[in-house]
Amino acid sequence: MVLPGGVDVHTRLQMPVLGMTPADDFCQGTKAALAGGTTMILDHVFPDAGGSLLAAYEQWRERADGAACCDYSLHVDVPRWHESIKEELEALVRDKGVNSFLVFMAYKDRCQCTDGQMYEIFSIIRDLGAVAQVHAENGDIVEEEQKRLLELGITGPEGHVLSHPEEVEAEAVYRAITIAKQANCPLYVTKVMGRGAADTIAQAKRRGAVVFGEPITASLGADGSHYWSKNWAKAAAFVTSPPISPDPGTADHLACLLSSGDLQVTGSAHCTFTTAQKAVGKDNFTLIPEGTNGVEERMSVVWEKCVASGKMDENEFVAVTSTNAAKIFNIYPRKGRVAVGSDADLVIWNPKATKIISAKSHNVNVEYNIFEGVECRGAPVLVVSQGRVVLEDGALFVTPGAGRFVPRKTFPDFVYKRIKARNRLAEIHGVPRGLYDGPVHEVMVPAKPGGGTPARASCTGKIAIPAVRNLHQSGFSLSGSQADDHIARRTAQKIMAPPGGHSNITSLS
Amino acid sequence: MASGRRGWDSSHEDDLPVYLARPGTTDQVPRQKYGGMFCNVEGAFESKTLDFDALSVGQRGAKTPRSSQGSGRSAGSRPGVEGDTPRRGQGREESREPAPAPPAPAGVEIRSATGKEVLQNLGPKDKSDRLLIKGGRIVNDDQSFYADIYMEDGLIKQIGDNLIVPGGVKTIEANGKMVIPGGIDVHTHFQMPYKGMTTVDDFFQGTKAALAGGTTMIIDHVVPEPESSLTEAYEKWREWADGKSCCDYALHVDVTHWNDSIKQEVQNLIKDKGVNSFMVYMAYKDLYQVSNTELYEIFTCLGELGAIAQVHAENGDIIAQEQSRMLEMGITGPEGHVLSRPEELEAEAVFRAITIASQTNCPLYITKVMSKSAADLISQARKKGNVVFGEPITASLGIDGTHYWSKNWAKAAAFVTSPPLSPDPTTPDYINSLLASGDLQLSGSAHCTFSTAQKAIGKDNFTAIPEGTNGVEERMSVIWDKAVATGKMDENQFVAVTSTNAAKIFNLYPRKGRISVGSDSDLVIWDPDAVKIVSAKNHQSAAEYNIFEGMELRGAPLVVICQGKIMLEDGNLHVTQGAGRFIPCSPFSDYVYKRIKARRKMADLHAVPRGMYDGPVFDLTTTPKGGTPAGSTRGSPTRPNPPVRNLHQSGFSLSGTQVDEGVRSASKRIVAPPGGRSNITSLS
Repeated sequence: MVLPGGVDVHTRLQMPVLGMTPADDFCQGTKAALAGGTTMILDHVFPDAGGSLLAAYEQWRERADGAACCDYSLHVDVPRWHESIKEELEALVRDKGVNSFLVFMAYKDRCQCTDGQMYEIFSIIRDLGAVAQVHAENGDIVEEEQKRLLELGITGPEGHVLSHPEEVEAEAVYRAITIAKQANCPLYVTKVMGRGAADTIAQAKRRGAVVFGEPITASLGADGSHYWSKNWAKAAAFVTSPPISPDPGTADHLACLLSSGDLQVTGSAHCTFTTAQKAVGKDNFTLIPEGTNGVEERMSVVWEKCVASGKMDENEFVAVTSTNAAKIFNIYPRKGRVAVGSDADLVIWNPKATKIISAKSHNVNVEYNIFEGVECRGAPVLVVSQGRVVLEDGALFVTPGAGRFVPRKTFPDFVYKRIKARNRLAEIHGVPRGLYDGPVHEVMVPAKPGGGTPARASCTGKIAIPAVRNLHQSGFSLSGSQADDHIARRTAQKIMAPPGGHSNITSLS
Repeated sequence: MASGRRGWDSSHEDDLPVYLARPGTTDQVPRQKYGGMFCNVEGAFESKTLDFDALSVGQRGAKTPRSSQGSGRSAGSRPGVEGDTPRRGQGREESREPAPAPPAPAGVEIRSATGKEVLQNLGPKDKSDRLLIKGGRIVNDDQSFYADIYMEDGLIKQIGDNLIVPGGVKTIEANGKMVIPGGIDVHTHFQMPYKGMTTVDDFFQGTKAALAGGTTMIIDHVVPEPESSLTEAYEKWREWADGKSCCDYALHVDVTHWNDSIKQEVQNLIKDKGVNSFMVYMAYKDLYQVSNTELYEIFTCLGELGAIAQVHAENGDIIAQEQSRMLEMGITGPEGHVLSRPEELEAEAVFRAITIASQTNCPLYITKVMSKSAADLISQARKKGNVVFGEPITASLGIDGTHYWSKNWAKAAAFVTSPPLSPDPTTPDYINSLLASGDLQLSGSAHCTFSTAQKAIGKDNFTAIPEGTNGVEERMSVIWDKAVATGKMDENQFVAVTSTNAAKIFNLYPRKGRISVGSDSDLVIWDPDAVKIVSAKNHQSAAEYNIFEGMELRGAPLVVICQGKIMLEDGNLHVTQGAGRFIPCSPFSDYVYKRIKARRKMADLHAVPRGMYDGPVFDLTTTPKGGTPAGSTRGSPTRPNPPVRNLHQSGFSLSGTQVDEGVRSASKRIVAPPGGRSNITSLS
């Protein structure tokens, strides 16, 4: 069986946390990826709070170009909204080959976006033709829950999963979908970990939203009950957010949705820390650096959970491990397909091989493997990357620095065809009415040129309690034609004011 | 007991009990009174006051002949009653004979005691306090039955047939009409100040309209200005309402901002002021809107104090964005209001509120359910076990939002409320169905009326149009017409959604929301066949527009009795300004909090007892890494300027035991079992 090489849509091989870097850098991480049959990764650039997105991007490029063993591309995270964000995003899209940006709904006070900011970022992203990704968790609630649990004296890794309940993830997914729908922006939910989140995505798709969901290796294959393990180091190894669901049925449910097409792509969210690094949070679960392994196990776990169990066939397997990802991020058919003209990234897959995952034999630098002891059917026999054999008979032949950056173009057809059609449809018409010529309440008269507090108009005979209810933060002009009436509006606008169309308040129709 | 035993013994056939005897048996088997398969449990009805003969529906009204026993008994007792009220027999005759048309077309007759009875009266002032409703069909949320009701001092004193009542009682012949508990409107904004204006219906006008529609109690919202005291606002509302209200009222208090002193005020309001429900806004950005964190804190606080958290559910952030977009596009009319507040934003906020309430174990109450998706989410959440209630309003039950596109600005503006009415014409029907199925529990009106001149403040900018629609008067009739007349719900459910559920949720039950001995005498004689056309010309509200204009509604109140006094008869209102009392609501209402309390007991979290982690710990200082294991230096050591991601804003100590390890809260449960050291190299 010859497959297109896997595309791992979510890795964090250089994610800085508290000044620590993950145990697997680009070299080690891509090596593990190739060992598992993945020939391309999409890594997340995480700019530090004050820094510019472009600088962070360059930093990531520099590091990856020197170390990556397979082709890679980059998502850019938007840790905070600021005025010049639009220019930065535009520059990245235009010149740097980035077409996906991630915003955080969690991590309060660090990179969490408000709903209003999300709406603005989504609008910019839509205009640029990129894909909006979200880390979906309600950061406000998570923070409150964390405080509560620490007060209760729960400091171990079980506090992590208790403070990130599944409902909170589902809530954020629902909100993100709503905002994206309003902004008419394609949405991509990273790390779908809970049943509620997955169901919310599936329902939104039924209602017609353009939304994609990415379950990760951990949510498909690992067991969240280990958070209660007596072995602190083991429990801590599972800490990622949103957390792996403690409900043993969740993995199976996600596999079903992945098979049915409700979820489309698989990532790994590979972001590993050694036990010593995790131990920073040994007395406070909120300090444990988050992240699990999975880049190497991804293909085998999906095969085991979905194909070997009869949920999907081999073609769908290819779709969720590479083709869909390539389509969404506009690298199709260069990647994600075995065709003339495509890159020579291929995997010869042996569906019968069985392998027991263990930290002893894996290719990453951590002591714990969250899939420890899981037996997987299906494994790559031979991996070809950029036309060179990199894995044969279990032996890896990798060259650090051989990986190329794959730039991605905007407006991926797979995503934007529908968005464009909706853009055309979403014309809004004003109602052509005559000017209202009836009486207007006195409060009008002391007009507020400053747009400040409304004046106290005491209506006769009524108790004049001036409840200042400034319903809307924007200033508004009070009467007659608008100041910008003469300016050409969008082409979609169709407001007409027919002469003689005056309405009369006394008629009742 | 004896007769039951005889039943068993008398069946000689193979010791079979009598109810298993073969059908062909020729033995004369005496009818089993007790112990049989279809018999009542012996003694089940002993010392029960209800007279089930009298209760069975349809006996009198449907004019089916009574059982001989029943009629004999009532005939026997009739003379005694006739001595007191001579017209009683006459009334009975009327109800039995199909031919004679009642004098009043409505079929209800009110008679004051005259002649002889006057002499027996204690005084004229007592007369007005005593009232007898005869021959009515009492409809509660659980059952309907025929009985007479005797009221005195504003309370229901007796229910049953052939009541012994003092002479000289004002009598209402209901002639088999339905008698229902007076409606409770859970959501009004009477006399609400807004931008220096006040809604045109003050407490007098508003409660008058309420009574005209069969509603005998309202719960109004106190809206304090942001940054001002809740208690002061509460006192202000009390003052206004006490002076003007014609019917009983209670108050919700809106929490428009949040801090510790507000928390204290909330506590006092619950403890001393008879408020048990507080509303928070998820919309109105930069004015009333509270953040998710504040929501969490408010819900936690309310959950502990036993109050009910109400939310106005709309995503204010996105609305603000959409509004400015609409204005930029040049859409300034009322259609911009509904375009900038799409249904999804309401649903999103409902979802969020439910999630937060579920996290904090606080009962949630969604005000103004206007759209299908919001209603669906509430119903789904209830199926998942959340304690959540939904309140559709008259407007969302009765009408759709297509009028926002009316060419008549004033008409379109009259519909402006938020969340807006859904432009989907099938929405009212859908919400009625959910109300009938119990997924939504109660109904309000959100009556908040502004005159057209007041609405015209926003004539060039829809965001300035003051929000609110009428509905307090139409509420009962709209629900009857849309839900009962169409067969979605029966009369008992009608009572449940118009009064009983509200009384239960806000802990007024059974004083309100039920016709039973001891309840307040707030009653409505309901005529299901009356047809009325709603129009601004004859409504009680002071607003020029009625959003239900021209709607033909079946079902209307014939007589409204509030505090034991007749407020409405023959279409004439007799109201007294200031007669309404404030009804305090106490916290921890059983209907809501039984479940919450049980969950609180369950939700005990335990930490995992682990040994101390004794492995290596990564040294966070960038300076020499003493004792850190290999692997931490992996990555690129030469990497310049590592981007520091301070993942957690709180301070942290760097290694070893924590400074505050010994002083954590008392509930800490981590034990360190001797010998229970974990070892990082073992893999289980």
